[in-house]
Amino acid sequence: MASSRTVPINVSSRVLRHISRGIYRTPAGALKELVSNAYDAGARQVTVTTGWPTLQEIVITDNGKGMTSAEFEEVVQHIGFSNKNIGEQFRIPGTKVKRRTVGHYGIGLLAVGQLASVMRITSKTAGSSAGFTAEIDFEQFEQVKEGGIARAAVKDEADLESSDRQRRGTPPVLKIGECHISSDRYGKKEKRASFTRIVLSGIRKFVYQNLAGDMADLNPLWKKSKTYSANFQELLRLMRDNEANIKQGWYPYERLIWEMGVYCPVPYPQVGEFTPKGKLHRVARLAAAPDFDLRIDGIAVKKPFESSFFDDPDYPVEEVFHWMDQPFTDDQKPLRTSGYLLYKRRIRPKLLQGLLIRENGVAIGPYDPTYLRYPFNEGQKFNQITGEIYAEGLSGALNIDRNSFNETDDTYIALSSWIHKKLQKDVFSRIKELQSSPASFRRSENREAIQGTLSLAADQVDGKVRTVSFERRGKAAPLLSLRRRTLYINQDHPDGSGSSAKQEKALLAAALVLKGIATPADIAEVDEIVQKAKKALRARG
Amino acid sequence: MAETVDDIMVRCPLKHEVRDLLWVPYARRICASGPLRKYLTLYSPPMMDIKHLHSKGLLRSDGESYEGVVAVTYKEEHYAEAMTKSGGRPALLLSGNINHLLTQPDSDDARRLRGEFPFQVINLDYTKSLFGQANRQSVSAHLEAIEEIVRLQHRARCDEFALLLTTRSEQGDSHHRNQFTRRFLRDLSQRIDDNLGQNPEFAQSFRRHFGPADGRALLRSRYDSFVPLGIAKLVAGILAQHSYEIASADGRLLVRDGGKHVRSLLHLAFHVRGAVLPRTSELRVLGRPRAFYFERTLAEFVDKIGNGSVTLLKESADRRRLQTKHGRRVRELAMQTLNLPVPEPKTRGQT
Repeated sequence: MASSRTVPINVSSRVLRHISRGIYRTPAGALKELVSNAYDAGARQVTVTTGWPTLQEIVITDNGKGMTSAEFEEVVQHIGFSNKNIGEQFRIPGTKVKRRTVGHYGIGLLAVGQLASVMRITSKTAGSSAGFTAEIDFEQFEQVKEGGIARAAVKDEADLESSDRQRRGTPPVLKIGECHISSDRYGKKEKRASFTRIVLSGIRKFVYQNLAGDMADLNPLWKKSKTYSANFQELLRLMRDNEANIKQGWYPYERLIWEMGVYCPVPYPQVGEFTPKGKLHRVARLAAAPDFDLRIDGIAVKKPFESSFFDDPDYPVEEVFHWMDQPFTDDQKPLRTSGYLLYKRRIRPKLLQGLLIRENGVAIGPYDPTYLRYPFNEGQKFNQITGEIYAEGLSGALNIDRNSFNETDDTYIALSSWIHKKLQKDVFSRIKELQSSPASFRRSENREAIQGTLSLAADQVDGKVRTVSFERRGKAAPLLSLRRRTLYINQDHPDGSGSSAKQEKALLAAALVLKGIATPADIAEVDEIVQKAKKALRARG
Repeated sequence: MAETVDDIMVRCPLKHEVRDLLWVPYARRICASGPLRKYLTLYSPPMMDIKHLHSKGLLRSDGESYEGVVAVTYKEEHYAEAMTKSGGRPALLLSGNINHLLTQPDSDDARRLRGEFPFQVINLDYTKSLFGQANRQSVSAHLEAIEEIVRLQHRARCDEFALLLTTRSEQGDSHHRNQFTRRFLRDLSQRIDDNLGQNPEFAQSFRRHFGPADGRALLRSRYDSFVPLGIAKLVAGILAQHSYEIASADGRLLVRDGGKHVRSLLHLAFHVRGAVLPRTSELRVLGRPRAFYFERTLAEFVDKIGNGSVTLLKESADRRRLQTKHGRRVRELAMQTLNLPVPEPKTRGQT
């Protein structure tokens, strides 16, 4: 008879050790977790000072609700057992402002181990004079003392395997280090204050090399051309101007701040379509977490859009696609998405090309130029779109780094197929239309402008003409004709096509008729004389 | 680690007196009602001069940076300081020695600095001597830089600016690297003598306060009056070459006599304005160099020195008084940081 039994599933401490060594691709990914924690703590202001380029210490301070030492003990003793639920609404202490949580694994603490070897955290809650300071030495996870000499403990896979084999049969030991906590007492005046300050020291070599060191050593030119970015807009301009160098790894510090602007729930700058009168104002409000100010080394971080992105006369934004609260699943209570896509022929910096997915305002990874693996090749058009999708219900689809998706997740699949349909039906088809006949599109826009201008002028002149309209009468027909108080402009005539070069001529001729200075026949006669003179001149060489 | 001059100066209430009573009034002469558009300074964390001018409404901040402030630092680690302890950033922080950036314009930073001219206030808060014993050039790098600054100001069509200048100025017979060289002192003395002969307004004022003495006698008898006067003459000479004159000048001599070695720092402030030579009406000056015309206004500065208005600030005598006056403000400015301020605990204990 077959017997059945239940066995526990255990996890090796090696897994946690791996996590503490790093799960994020870049320092910005790890910093994002710490900023997310501050956001979830109801912080209205978060400051990060890096001390770049020497990076002696990184200090993250927030004015959120803080923690008691008991709460902190609970966190360090149960990493990964966070009581936060992503998307859960909460009220910022002392205000009426509501927010939704953005984190939930509670692994921000371990993320720190990727950045620095020592973390000191000081925190205090409002209404109490007691606070605490805790210090974690992350090196203890990687070193043991043998005969008084610190040696690397478990560094390679072979050692890890043998360590696990020896442990088999015994309960898994999940303790991965120790944390020293001391209590602090504050004065009566500071009783109302609440804050958390994290000081990271012993910055990891990879972080230093990533942000300052390695490039400087390898390429002296980088050191020479180092530029000091005084404010965020200047930093964006620098990123745009030096894109080729950034691709080669230059300006890593500026890139870190740029990435933080993308990842964190910071507001949009008041530019272009994001202004209150712009088409994307409602979308912008989704991201602009109320009262959340992130400053990195004094730079007020915002979403990385320059005013020149919208004001560029050579490459204007030609089309804006936007939607609010559209369902993307077929359930009874469908999950919803809002967002926008912008089409312009040249998007710089290239880092903005593609699609960015946000959950509760926090970006999941960088801009995705594959559009969640869009199955058709749209060639150049892939580089001419930038957009952001705000979606709900994606928490289960996130990988542990919260910076990438588990692409087998149902919600992710539903969202990607919804986006692909949207791209195929609305976006790429419209772009094809715009691109297939750019000149004719411009001409039709010009014709609309001419018609609008002349209709206004007709009102002001108060003459015979009431309305102005375009019609197709063939190339041979005259430019203007007047019938039943409507002035018709022949769009088949070379001067009535709406081309930019002939626009003024058409306007002037029509204005003469509106004012009653000339009839359409006079205009045709004058035009004929001019054409004949031109022909004669050409004949004379 | 021994404290550097920079470290000492950050907290020094005597220095703050200089900021408050010399730099601020001279910056205000250029911009009486609004903030300055352009300010050039030598970067020294935690940017006390910038913060103080900002607190007096002379510099504007957009919350991220101090607008129009261009700072130059020769220390790599000052970039880091700028990122942490300072309350904001200069609009532009350039890396390198300002003297080299100005006189050897072959780097990107040098080109950027030259592109930023003109400035309304230029603060050359040097911590070394303008022409010290260590100098091996016939003209010191500091003086070359000052001349280049004046040239660039003129080229950028600047009508009026304030030049704030600091130099070590201790007297002594030893050959300490921060003492002026004999050659330099002889040159200053010669300049004073030339003025006594050529500039009647200057000579009259000089005789009134110092009697029949000449430059050399003044150097021997009243060194503390000689140096500011001589350097002011030197600066006036450089300015005159580019049709500038000193509208007014003032100074403070800061003597740090609290320790084993006595150190002196001379702070000078010049209000500089463009001037045009008037038409000549006398045969004796027609066609001859008339640089002394631009230096006639220094008679007023001679009066100030003679009357004792160029105050001597001594650490031994004035520190306590000025600590009471400025101590708290100095601490506040120095503590301003990019971090969100959080309270300090009263006590710390083990749990």
